[in-house]
Amino acid sequence: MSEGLGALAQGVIQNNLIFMQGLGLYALTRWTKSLDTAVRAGAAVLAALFTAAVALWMIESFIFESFSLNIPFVIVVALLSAMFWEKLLTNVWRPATEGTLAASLLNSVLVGSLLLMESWGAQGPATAGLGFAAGVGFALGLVVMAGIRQRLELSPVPKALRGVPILLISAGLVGMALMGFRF
Amino acid sequence: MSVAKTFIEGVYHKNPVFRLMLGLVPAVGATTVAWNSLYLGLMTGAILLVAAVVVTIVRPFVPKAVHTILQIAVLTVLVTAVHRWAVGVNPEMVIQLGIYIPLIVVNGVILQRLSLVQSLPEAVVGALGQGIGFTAALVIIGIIREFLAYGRVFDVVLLEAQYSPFALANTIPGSLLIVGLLMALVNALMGKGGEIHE
Repeated sequence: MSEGLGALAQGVIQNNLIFMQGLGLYALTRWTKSLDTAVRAGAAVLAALFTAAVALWMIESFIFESFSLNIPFVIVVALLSAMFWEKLLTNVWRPATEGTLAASLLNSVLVGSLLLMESWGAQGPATAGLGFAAGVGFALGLVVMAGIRQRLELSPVPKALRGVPILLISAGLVGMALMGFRF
Repeated sequence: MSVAKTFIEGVYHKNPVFRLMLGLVPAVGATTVAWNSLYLGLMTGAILLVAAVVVTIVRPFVPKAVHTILQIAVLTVLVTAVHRWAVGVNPEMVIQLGIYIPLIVVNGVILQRLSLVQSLPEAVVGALGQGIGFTAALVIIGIIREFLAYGRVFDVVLLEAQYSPFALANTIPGSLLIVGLLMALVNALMGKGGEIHE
């Protein structure tokens, strides 16, 4: 039990994909304009990441011995997972998603975190757990940044800083706060 | 539009990192030292150029539904080849860059560029401009971060031992702050705001 909680804390705080790994900044700049899009994007990435992690674990344990640094293999798994969830979710969420969801799902979050799994010490079923924790951390990060962005809309920000620059600086400050939780 | 104008627009007025806000992941994550930034920028630019040529030539013969898969397939082949080549030439650099070489496959600059339908000369000039603009942005960020974190630039020591390093510049949160402030500086020079217009 405590092991599972530790893995969750590691995924959400210590290895947070946005604030501590710097992945998914495309999502951070494009999908946090409202809380609604942030929640949907976070949920879609969480689902795709969990599916891809489960697929990675199963293929690794039943078909191939090692997937370490096998770039094409990781990319194919991420692509299949992204396309699967794109087909499932576009009909449900059509009005809110702009452009193709597959192109947005297949950003650096999915591929990057699958490549990072090994350095996080993921083996066997723990891969799926770490994928889920990383997805939760990513979704929470998007929601937090959407909230911060709504507050920033009402603040008198200098013209040059408006939009993305102040968003990146805010993300950096949140990341500095999370650095205090090294345990 | 003339060739030179397209090129300069890609490098400066539509700089991928500072103006289009694309390719932010390598700009924030992989720029701890200047040499790594230069290598990664050049690799990304070269892959973008080759991929733009291949995709522009092959696209008319492929149905529209598989265009995304075509792009990803071409990029995967190119990135795997570059990765293997880099392991042979400079293994230490590959270890330091880590996941950022495979991540070229999903680089926003490349995917946005390849999604445009253009003639071959337009695609080549545009890809060259964006590649050089991306490399320049990465090197600028890399120089600033290396100087703040280690007191040296391109492995040349500028500040001796008395300098107490600004360790935050070596981390992702510090990098987010630096990239955000640089973006604001570019916006101030151009007299524009930092909102995304797409």
